[in-house]
Amino acid sequence: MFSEGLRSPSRFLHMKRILKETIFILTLSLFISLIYAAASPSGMVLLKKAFRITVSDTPEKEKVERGGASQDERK
Amino acid sequence: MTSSLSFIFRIIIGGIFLISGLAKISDPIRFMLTLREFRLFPEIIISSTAIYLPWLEFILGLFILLGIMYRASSLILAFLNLTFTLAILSLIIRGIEVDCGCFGLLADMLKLPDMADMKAVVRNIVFTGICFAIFKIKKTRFSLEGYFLKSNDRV
Repeated sequence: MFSEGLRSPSRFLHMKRILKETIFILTLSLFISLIYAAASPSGMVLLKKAFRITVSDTPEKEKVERGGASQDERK
Repeated sequence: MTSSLSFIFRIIIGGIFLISGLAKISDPIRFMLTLREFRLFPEIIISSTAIYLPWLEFILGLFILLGIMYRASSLILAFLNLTFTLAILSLIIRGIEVDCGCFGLLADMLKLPDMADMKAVVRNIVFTGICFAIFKIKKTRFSLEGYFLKSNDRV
């Protein structure tokens, strides 16, 4: 039934238009969200996490592993 | 008649998602922490979703409310709601009790029920149904898209 519907040209064109609009909306949201994230401090934290840019959490790890002060604190 | 119904559905769904999107945009870190509690995805997907999803909801809500590409928007929103429903169902099955994070800061401010329970599942299923109805009904009232199409016809 669905394939029969798609065979009619007007319906196919309509679905094509919906698909184009969907792609446009998803891309627009992506651009706006990335611009906002780059501009806001909390968004920047999330961006760094998403792109796996480490934000100096190594001293904290060292603290836990060594059970004492980190290298930075010792200095 | 159906066009009026579509208009009412658009106001309800558009308004809800516009506001819930704004509430999440205002505090993305909180939304990320909520997503982390779901224990469904790795950290990289959680952070990306916390950036992307609030804006997607906001734009979809805005487009549905104004009547710009509202049929495609309602279709995307229907699939989003289905995903939310599946996520909440997985929480219920695993016995994890957390906030669903649907309304972000707004839930605290207005003391709205925001737990990931069966009520949230039913609510999401109703929203999905309304979104599909908006998609199915081809005519609507007071849409910008309709206004511009009419203007083109006149020219």
